[in-house]
Amino acid sequence: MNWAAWINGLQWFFLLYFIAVNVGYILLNLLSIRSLRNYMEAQGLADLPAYSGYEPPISILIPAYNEESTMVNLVRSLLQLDYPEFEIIVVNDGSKDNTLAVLQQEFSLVLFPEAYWQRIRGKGVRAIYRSSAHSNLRVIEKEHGGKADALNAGINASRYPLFCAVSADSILQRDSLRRAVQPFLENPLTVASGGAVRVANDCELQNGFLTGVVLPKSGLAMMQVVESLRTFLFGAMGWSELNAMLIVSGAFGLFRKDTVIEAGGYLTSTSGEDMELIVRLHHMLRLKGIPYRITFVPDPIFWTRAPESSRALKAKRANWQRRLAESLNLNMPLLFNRKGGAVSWLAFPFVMIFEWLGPMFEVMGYIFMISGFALKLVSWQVFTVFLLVAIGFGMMLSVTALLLEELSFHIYPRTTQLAKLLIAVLVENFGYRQQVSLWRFMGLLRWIFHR
Amino acid sequence: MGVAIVGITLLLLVQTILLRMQLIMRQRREQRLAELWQPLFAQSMTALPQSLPPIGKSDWDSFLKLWNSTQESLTGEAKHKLNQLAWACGVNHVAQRLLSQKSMRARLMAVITLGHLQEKNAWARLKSIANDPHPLLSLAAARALVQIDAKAALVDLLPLFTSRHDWPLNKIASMISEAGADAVTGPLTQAVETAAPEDFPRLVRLLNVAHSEQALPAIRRILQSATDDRVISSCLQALTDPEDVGLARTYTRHPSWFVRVQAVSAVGRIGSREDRDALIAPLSDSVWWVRYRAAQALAGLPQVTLDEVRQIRDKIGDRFAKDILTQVIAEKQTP
Repeated sequence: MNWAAWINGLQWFFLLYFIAVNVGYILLNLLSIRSLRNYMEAQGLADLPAYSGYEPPISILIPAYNEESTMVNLVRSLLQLDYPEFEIIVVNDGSKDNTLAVLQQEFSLVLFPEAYWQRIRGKGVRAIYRSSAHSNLRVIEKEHGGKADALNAGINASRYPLFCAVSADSILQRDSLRRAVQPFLENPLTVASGGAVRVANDCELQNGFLTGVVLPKSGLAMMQVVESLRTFLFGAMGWSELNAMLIVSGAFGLFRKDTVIEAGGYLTSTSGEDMELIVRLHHMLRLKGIPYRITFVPDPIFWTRAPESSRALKAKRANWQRRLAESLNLNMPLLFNRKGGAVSWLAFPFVMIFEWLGPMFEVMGYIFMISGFALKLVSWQVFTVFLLVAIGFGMMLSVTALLLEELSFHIYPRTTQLAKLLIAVLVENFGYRQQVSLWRFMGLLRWIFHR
Repeated sequence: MGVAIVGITLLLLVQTILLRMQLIMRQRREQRLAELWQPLFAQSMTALPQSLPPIGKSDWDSFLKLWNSTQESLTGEAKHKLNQLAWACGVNHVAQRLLSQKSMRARLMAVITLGHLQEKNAWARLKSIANDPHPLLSLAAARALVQIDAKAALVDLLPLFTSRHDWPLNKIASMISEAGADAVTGPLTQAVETAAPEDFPRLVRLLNVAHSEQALPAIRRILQSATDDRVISSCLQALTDPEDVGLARTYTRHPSWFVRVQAVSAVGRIGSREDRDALIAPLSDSVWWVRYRAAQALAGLPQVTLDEVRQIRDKIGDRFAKDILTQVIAEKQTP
């Protein structure tokens, strides 16, 4: 094949790739609209009174490694959660700072002779403390084994049928658990539910809870607001409708404990233990033919501070890409598995091509088209079509995400906030998205060469 | 293609702005309506206002929303007074009309309104909607039926309480608690007696909102002949009479661990000091939860002191039993 044929073939490949990824997301979007509309009907108007006492009790697990500055506030806010019965288990994963000491002092911890039941194997537990001020608070002191190992220790020590994994930088709302538990109440087959992650930069906080929502002042954080709308409102919502959601935020997820134990708990050999667990749950339950639901709760129930520097964002995105790669790679037999249903035949290939390998195709596509156009190897007609597809479709999808937000929660109620968001959804397509793709591509390369 | 992409993007942008404008207008309308009607709602608690302002066609949705949310916050006679105001406004006719609309929101609003109004004329239609596959709509219709005539409604609804797993149990409990324990106990006990093993646990849990002691004879009868583990376990959970402790004790060695857990818990709940020995063997059970509940039960028995529990721990040879008793003693000591 000669040069011209190669160039021609690559032009078509990249054009078709960009069309496919955008059409895929548009279809996902249509699913989300239906799903979100159904969900919103349940809100407000049909909010029938609920008889308290039937909610399953929940164990909240917080893995902590060198978190002396954040842990006290987080625990204090969690103790005020509006939920009938819950316990908090902080797992101090061999911190080198004063995490344990500050907890001991603040919550009057006393050594507790617990008959620890090790259902999932892990690093040694040194001691268990119980708060004499709050009977539902315990702290596990263990050897350092990483986040997954800490969560497994928390599962072992937990008493309740559901557990909620919360990261140390979480900001919750008082009713977060009530909302997250809804799928378990509505469908007994539910084994996991995950919430939307919203950006909390510059928002008002009181006693560790979010009380007022504003848009971040930082431009970079603002772009992440739009990104989070796109990721959660039509990404997760669409897949949830098909019971094929492969990614639940590690920062806030609610799980049925027995099912997670049956799956072997969190995997300690990966840094993407939260993503991997969800994929493995699908894998195990689909292959065993056990009916189940993994559900997305679109309500704004969990907030986190978005990075405001390029360096921090780059590290976060690269890390996310590596974790995604690990999760999918470890569960490869699920791909096109005849028992896997929508997970195997739709979600897994989609996420693999457009999310896992996507950044590589996107970066290469931009480089090829821009350099080809500069070197006159790519005609201006093809280049224009490419830009229209890559940027025009991108804008369309971002605007759709905002539309979904407007159809549902209106978490940014002021008109000026909407105006700023409208500008952001257009601007993010000129540079930000491409930059994120590049960082994710770097994360992918790091995973390939350093695993 | 370019024109199409730009066109669609612009359309979506415009739609987003329109939605926001719509929201602002709706919020203003709702605010205006609330300012007008809330004083009238309050006035109707003493006497029906002489004249009532007309409700415009576009205001009905907001009015019904306000009226229903006010109804939710009221109890007893006040609900009835607010209904009189609604009838004077013609709410019953509007709700019946809305019931025929295609929009889910309109139908839901109609069902909730007719329930609060206790509109007997809507009985047949609500009964049919209670079988609708949409969980919210059907559940709202079930509640409306209970609000209209609890006893008659329960006859139709009890089979749905077990078959509709998309109806959260806390919502069902709330619905039947509105009817009152007197109305619920009889039909619920009957349903428990004839329930299939798979439906049994769900119904037994609902006994919490009934006079559960009246269901005890039925529970005893079922427990004595039950072979299904789910049924046995649910029956043990429902035992509240100290006379049944002997029955509970017989299940502390059952092959299923979740039956043993409920058995030792029941012994702890209804047992006495004399039942200490029955709880010693389960302290060495192979399942952590059985050991833990047995230890809690032992330490919670009437007239059994912590010192006595310590003595039992010190005498016991099994390490697992010792560990679990140590934990429970520490729990008892920590407030």
